[in-house]
Amino acid sequence: MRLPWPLFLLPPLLVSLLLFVVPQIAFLRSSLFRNVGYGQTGSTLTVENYARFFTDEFYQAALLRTAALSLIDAAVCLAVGFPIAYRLARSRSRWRSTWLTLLVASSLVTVVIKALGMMILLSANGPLNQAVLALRLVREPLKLLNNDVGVVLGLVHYTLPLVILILFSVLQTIPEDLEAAARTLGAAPWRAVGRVVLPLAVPGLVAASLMAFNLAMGAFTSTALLGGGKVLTLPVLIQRKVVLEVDYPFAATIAVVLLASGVLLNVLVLRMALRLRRGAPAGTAA
Amino acid sequence: MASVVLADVSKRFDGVAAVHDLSLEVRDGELLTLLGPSGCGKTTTLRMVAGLLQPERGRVLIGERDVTRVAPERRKVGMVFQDYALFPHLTVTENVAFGLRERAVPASERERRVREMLGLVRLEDQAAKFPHQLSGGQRQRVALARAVAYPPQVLLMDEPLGALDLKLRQAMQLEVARIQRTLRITTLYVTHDQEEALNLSDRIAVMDRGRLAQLGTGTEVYDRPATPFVADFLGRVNLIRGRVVGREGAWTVVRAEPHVFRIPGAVAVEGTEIVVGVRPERVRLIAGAEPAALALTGEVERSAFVGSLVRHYVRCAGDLVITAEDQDRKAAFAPGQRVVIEWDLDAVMTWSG
Repeated sequence: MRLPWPLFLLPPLLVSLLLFVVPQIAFLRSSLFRNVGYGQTGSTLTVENYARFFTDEFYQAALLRTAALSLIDAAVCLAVGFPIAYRLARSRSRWRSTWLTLLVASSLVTVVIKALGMMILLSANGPLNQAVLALRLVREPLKLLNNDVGVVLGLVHYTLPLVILILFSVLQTIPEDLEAAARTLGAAPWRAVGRVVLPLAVPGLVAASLMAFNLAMGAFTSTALLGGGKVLTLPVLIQRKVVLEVDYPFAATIAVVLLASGVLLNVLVLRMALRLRRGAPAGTAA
Repeated sequence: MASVVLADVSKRFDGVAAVHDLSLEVRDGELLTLLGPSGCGKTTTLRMVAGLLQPERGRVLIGERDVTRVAPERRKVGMVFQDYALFPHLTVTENVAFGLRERAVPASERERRVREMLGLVRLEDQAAKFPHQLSGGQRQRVALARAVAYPPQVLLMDEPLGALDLKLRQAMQLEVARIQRTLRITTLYVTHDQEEALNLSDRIAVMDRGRLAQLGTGTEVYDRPATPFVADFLGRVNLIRGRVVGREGAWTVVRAEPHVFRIPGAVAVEGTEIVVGVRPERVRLIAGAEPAALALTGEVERSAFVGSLVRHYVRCAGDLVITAEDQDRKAAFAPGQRVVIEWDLDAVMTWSG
């Protein structure tokens, strides 16, 4: 007898709907009521929360800051992650699987631990500053905490292992002979990477950068800890609205704006990437 | 155009010798085939000429220039890869133009050259397609056009027809030969297919476990193989191991237990271990004859009809099986029939064992 396999998908679908879609709808709904204080909401539908968000420069700046920090994180991750992933993908060393295991393990370490480690490392009298002071590279300790620099470092620390893993899996599917062919056709190694490997890795670059961007957009722990409450991104503001001001409707509003702007950017990037793509995907018959 | 010289080249992988003290010259304009079973070091040799692998010892010269430490992009070689290695994100035109762009050939000259190359491989009407839209044979021709577009001094081909089916492979052999003659380009061609090698090559270099076993024209290598390995790899051969036990006039008597037979000429002194080889097409089977004192006899075990000829397998005493090929397909033998084995006197090949 043939098993009705599609039916097996129903339970996880229901669970997903319950735990994922329903709360989103609840958010969306609660953002449409007025806050009447003490965690209570009004009973008439209104868009004044959104009007407030988009007329107050403070929130616009927070939205821009969140997107900008996330973009910088994605860019840094690509720039740092690509060479590492490329080296790993082309490595024949017996240590390769060890490196990969370490990468996976490090990406599984909870963000709190990672952020605390970064705080020790980056603090005014931490090892990094002691080193640059001892080497007389700077006169005063570098300010690497409680500002944008600290937040970006924290975000990169958080998203880089995943970016490397995604890029690695894509780069591995690009046959090495393509680079060898480019070399025999007169391309120096970096030209071979630029004209052959990079274009073929576009799907991976897009996937990896979107993932880094999305994680950074929603990052709370590393931003809150390494920003020291001074770098106000949307996730940090949401927490403040809920915990300090008990303003659920406005917290929901920020969450909806955060979600919508994230989805919008993802769609835009994906559409651009699809237009860029030519020929057959890497790894298929050539 | 230029010659290629390999001088005492060696390459190891993880301590195992892949190529050992190989010396070889590909003459200007010649098509030389590296022939051998997989793992004999022929692809390694080709990649060292391309610069994709570095030899541990020895030198590689292209057109009298020592390129041993020169990067592949500075060697002026064109290479066709086993799986073509076409760039999947580029069209046929862009693939062929790749090398011209890397060498900063002006756009107008580039276009002219690409058109010329696509004409050479008869793919003008596929210019705008992507590799995955082409058939295997077409991809092969794009790879060839790409390799020769910026005229290289040397064309390297690594089992370029390996992925094609038999009919297409035969057609492409003619095509490769035509293009190579048209361009008169020095070519090093790697294959494990002896028929392909005989079909295409000016000369054949037979490789055996990282060493050059023999270098010569097709007829030289086939008719006068330097080693039993070469005889066995190019065509079929009956090999009999034995020891010289004496002379009998103009003959040498060989004992290969339990057989004693004679071969023409004074081959070696008494007591020498030798290997005697005879090609199956030079072996004749005589039924019903009285065996001479020093002749091989056996029983026909099986006769196989393989199209252009009939191949008889004759089992002799002592686990020796002799193959005979009959192109006339006239003589028929019943399985188990006793036959006397004869061969043309000039067909006997001997090597020291």
